[in-house]
Amino acid sequence: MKVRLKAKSLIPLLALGFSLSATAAEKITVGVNGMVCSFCAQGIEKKFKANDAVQKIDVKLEKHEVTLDLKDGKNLTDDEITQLLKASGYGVEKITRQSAAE
Amino acid sequence: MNLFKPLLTALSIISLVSGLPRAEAHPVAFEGALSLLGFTSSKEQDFQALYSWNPRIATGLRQLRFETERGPRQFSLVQANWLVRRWNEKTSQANLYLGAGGGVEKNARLAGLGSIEADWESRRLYTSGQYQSIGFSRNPAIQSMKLRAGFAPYLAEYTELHSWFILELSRTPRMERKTEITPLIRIFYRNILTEFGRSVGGDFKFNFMVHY
Repeated sequence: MKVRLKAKSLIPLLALGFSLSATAAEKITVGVNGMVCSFCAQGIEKKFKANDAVQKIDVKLEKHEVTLDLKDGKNLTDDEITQLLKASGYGVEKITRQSAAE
Repeated sequence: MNLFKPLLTALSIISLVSGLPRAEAHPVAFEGALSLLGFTSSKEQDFQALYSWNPRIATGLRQLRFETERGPRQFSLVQANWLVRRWNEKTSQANLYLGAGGGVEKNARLAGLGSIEADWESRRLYTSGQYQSIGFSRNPAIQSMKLRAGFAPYLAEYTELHSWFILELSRTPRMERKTEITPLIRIFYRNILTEFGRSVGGDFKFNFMVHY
């Protein structure tokens, strides 16, 4: 009886662990076309910071890139990223993704 | 990009030949931006408050004053700016803007404004050309043209201080000093840009721009 109860109590714990690892925060690096000055960077930074999925944004003018840290359980598709940059007045060169577990 | 450079060259040539007018940097900013722009010298003052509805359209208020050869002229206008076309490359950006406005000149005369502006910049180099005409019917228009070229002596990151050396050629036929050459220093940090310089003719100039 005690063994059955322990096995049953482990199942929800295993399920919780599985769900946490499946939605771990993701880091996205976006190559941006046209981002050549601080005003450019400011507009992009504000646009992404206003998005609910973004935890943190880091702008690198030298690399022409912005790096996005997403909130746990949140996602931002490539299309959404492209639309946000387009709405800021810039273009996307490439998008690469890296999960937090890597 | 290939289309832009010939366009800027053509605009510059047209402006020089016709003795046409001046302009402003960043006529449209990012969506939701409130921009405050100001220019002052001993003969000219220009202040603008603009709101960018999206990356293509901005509207706002503008106050200009010119010390012309026939005396001072002052304008209060509502202005709209339109980003006609932008070219985004990996290491550079080029823009073409149009502007139009309407309002009054001092003494309650109607006034209209039209402008065209183009620029190309990378993190190291910058060029721009502007033409602007202000006036209405029987009031002689004040036309001004400005050409600029600049370079950054060092490259800075977003959170660092940017510095630029800029040379400006301006021509405003109705001013006492019609043509001016002005070297300027630009200091640029995050959302605040300031420029200051002294023309070859001895006129001090100060320019600022803030985006919120």
